[in-house]
Amino acid sequence: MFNSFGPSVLLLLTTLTPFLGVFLIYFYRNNEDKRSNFLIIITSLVFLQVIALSYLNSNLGVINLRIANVMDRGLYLAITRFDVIFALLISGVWMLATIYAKKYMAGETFQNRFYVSWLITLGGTLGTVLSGDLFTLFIFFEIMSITSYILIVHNQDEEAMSAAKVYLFMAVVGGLAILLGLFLVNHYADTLIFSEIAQNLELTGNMGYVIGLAFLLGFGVKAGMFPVHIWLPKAHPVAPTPASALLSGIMIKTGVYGIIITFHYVFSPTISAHHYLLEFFGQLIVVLGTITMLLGAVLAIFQSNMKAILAYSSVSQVGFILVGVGSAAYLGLAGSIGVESALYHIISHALFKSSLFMIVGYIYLQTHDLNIYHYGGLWKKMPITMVAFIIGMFGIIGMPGFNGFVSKNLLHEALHEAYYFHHLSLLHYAEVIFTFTSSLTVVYFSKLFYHLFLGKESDLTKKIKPEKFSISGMLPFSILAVLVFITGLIPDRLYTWFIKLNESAFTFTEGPEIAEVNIFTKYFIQSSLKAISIGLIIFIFLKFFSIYKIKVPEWLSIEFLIYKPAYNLLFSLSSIFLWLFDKKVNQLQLQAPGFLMKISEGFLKVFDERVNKTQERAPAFLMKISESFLKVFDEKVNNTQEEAPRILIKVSEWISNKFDTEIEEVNIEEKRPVTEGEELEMTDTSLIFFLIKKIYLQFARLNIILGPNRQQSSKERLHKAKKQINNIDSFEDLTCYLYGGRYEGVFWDIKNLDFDLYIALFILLLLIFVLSPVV
Amino acid sequence: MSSFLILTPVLFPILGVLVLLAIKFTSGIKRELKDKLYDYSIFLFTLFSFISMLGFYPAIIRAGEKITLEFPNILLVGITFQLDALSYYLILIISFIWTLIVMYSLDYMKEERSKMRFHLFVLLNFAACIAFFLAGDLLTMFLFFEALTVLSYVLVAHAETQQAIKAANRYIFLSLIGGLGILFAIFVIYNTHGSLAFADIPYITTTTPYLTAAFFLSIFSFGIKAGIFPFHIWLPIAHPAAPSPASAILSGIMIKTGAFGMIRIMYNMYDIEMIRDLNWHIYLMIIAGITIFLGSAGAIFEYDIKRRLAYSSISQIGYIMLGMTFLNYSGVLGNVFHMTAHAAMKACLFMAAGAIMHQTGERDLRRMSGIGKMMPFTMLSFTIAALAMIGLPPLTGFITKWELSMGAIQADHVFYVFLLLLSSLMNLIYYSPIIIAAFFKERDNDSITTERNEVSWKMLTPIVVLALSTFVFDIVPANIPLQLAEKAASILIK
Repeated sequence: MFNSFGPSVLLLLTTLTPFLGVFLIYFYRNNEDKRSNFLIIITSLVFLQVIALSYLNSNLGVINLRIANVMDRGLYLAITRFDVIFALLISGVWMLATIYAKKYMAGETFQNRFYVSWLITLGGTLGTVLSGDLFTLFIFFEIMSITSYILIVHNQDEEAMSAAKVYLFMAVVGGLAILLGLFLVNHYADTLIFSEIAQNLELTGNMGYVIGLAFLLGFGVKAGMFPVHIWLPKAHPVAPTPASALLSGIMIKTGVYGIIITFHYVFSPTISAHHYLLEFFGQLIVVLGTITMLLGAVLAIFQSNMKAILAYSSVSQVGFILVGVGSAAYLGLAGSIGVESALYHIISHALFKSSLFMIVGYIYLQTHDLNIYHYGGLWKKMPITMVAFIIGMFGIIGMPGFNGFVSKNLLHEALHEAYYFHHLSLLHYAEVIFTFTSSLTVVYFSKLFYHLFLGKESDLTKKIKPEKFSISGMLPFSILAVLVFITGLIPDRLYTWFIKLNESAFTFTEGPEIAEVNIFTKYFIQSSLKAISIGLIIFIFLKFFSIYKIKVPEWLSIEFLIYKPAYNLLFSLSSIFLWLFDKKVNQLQLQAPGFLMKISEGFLKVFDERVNKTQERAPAFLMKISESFLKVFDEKVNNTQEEAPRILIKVSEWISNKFDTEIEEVNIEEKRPVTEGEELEMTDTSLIFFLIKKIYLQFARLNIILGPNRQQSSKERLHKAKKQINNIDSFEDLTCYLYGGRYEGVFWDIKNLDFDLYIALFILLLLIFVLSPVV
Repeated sequence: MSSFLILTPVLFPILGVLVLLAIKFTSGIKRELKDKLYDYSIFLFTLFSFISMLGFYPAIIRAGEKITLEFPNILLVGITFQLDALSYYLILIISFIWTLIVMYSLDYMKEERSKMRFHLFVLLNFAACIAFFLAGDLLTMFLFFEALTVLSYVLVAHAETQQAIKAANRYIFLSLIGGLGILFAIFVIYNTHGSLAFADIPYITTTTPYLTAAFFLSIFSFGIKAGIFPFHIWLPIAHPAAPSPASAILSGIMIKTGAFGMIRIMYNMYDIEMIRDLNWHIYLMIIAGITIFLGSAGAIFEYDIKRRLAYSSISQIGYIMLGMTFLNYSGVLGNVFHMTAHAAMKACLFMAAGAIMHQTGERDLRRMSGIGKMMPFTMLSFTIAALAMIGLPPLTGFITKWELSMGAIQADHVFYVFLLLLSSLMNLIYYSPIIIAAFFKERDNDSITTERNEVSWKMLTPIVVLALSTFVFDIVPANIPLQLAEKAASILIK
């Protein structure tokens, strides 16, 4: 129980130590010296822990620890033999860089901030390689990505700000790409533990390509792979040198680590279903790696900033490593040599690149100038530094006896194997470029070395005091230089100690192992020396014509051709989207109330004002109606009732008139003395005559009412007619009155002819009616 | 199980209002003592609500019970309250955040005018908000939805400037229109099913044109409150217009009421199998997608800090809505969890922005270089919350992003994974300049920053606590909010 538990606790402690150190910095925040010493102790502690872990790993095998429930899914830490190399490099170089930083950062501003992120980045980087599943890897990877931003931006000048901005942007894009791959792997494999993914990953359609590309892009950003390398040559030179040494020497290797993980654990060569993917991605990585190495080397030649040369050199060297990784993926089960040579070069590069950065930084510390053309003849002033530089340089250009010689030749062998696998001409060209780039490495390092150490002493160099050995400043790169030398001499030991992998993902059944390649033979030494001499010739040629002082125009860079437009596209897309869905919708919705108001207004006009007016008028109308109603039914009735007595009086008058006068008349007639017969006839006829007169009077009345209006009022005319008719006393007179026209305006009138016609017709009809029974 | 006790978190703030009024109209107390009494009673009565919620933990989470309370004769149909794992989770977290916001507002509003009105209405809003989350049927929910609308008007219009009143008017008009849609749904659903309850087994399994209309109308009505496209227009105006504590309440908590209503409609009334068959979720998904991109795009071009945060809220409400539309467990879990995760992050961001405005009176982001040195704790908290928004591990936003993306992949909509990742990137684009300017840029002529001038501890504590809450739960082995959210999601979908 204790045996298996103890190492796991150590693993957890190793991962946590840097993070816990962050809290302890607080106590030393004001004392520069104590803080630096404390940091050296912490990083040394981490290094010792990693050494202990490596030892335990070689004895006990994989040490793992599952921490359930943290971050929802739980973390899974594991150290395998593959992780040991990375963990040792990280903690070891980090410790040396911390020692170096004590000297370099002395008197700098924002040291607390710098060292806090320094430790968190260490924790993130170490956690990345100590992780046992993709989830844990991603979390530590992101922690490292974000906190190393603070290391890059440290100087806070404009250059650092813009470089750090590019870095942050690309690091986050890379992180998101990894996350995409992570989601898909989690969905299709339902596990993220390295050793279990491959068996469970059942891919459908093109999903394998999506996953592979996502991981390649994500880890490629960190590794500085073409075409996502652009942040690297910007960010590495602007960071303070200890940070540059780590960024270039160590942190870009985590990207390579991720790529190796992807193409050995996620797509395992032991699963035949993944072979088509590995073949495709193997070729892709080799091609990208070749472009990366060539591009980095060519651009390094044209730099004048010494840190930029080293940064571009890092790009180029990552290309070399990627070629090994790509060959391994391409070769599948025969890929042993590819991955192992890549690991060898990772070790080599970590050692010599960190060493070179520290040396350059140490020179910069004396002069505060990064332009190599301002230097010259440093060999007199800084002999120890020069020796260290030469060792590092010999390492990187592959001088026999140094580690670069071994790893580069092994990489070349791996590429050669890959070419012989299917005789793909693409890989043949890659081989040619590989050799050519090796020569170019010599060119830019000769340039750097020549301008720094050889030549005439410049004004700047004259100011430098002759160096004394400073432990903090010079010990780290001296140690690294010694390591560069040692690792070049004992490749066999290095192989058996670190590089020979024993995990299931790295069981290669076919192909040669690097132990079988005898590196110290005439063939390899000759080819290396050939490449170096070609490089020297090119350098002398360039130097003679001063071609390498030409500046590459900015617009030619990939950043200006692709990334800036892509970034701007996102912006314009956003603004178009905003315009369409925010402003327009906004406007529409803001107009909606207005529109609604207009509709309401119209509605109101129609249904409110009209109704209002109608209703306003309604009382008046009602009043009018009432008025007329009143007029009809009140006034008239009133009048009628008022007149009623009068009418009654009139009626009674009329009745009394009628009957009284008639009676009087009758009485008068009765009283009249009967004298003659004629008179008697007269009296006989008088009643009939009276009745006829009455009838005629009625006719006259009718005529007056119905007839056309005259100037005289009807009353007057009636009265007149009455008078006239009453005055007629003989029948003849009456006939005359009827037909004679004497009584003008009453009966006989030309204008009133039709009335007489009616009367005639009436009489005719009467006659016919009376006579008809007879007929 | 039925108990009146579930109304205690609602009654405490109301009691608080009464106590405040009592203090106000009591004569013979010294001015200073009165001010202290105000502060204590406002804070304590909010805190009591939170504490009383803690008491339900054994019953709701351990035993998995559901407490209901019915008032059968009110409003003809009767109103019901229920406390299940979902509402418990939301109320618990929200009352905690609210308590912190109240604590912050005590000092923030000290110099402001009519602060008494503000505090009273914050308490009333709190009561209405909890009652909203407690609602056991659509009618009850509608009642408190309208109450919230009206009560929060006062918070938006608090400044009484023309701008604030305009914003508040736009807010209340849109929200009231939203209320009408819910009312329509109430009529239709009650007419066809004779019930408005939020049931564990959804009862609307077949649809008619009226029920379809009721579904979409109610979803969009709650969407108005939540601020989804195309009804988001009130949000970027109203949230910045309010005083900062109110912005934190509005953006952090109030828009979640809309999202909560949507969940209840979608998962407790309509059958999700029917929704899946009819492809209704696809439409909502598209709307959510547009909302996400729109919010992020809008935030990029804003330079007023609070407006940028408000646009960010639109984007985040899109996340919440998106999780709901995948109709699977991961999506719902992401949705439920993000409701509270976003509440914590956005409340923290708004309070930090408010702290800056309180100290400098400035809201233009371009003039804030070097503010990290002036207010280190505030800006560190701001940074952590902003990184959580971006979704960087190990912060809370990452868990949401994880769950939502897993939901999208399981639902076979990989496009939305890309959208989520793109939105993360855009979050970076609009949050990183603030952080960079705060910490890595020197003070220039244009900037308003001065020497170190941190806000008082009463204002700082809530900001720091919320910032810590975005990662503390993730790096310890027991992520309590997430476990509660899992419980809550499991009652919605299996």
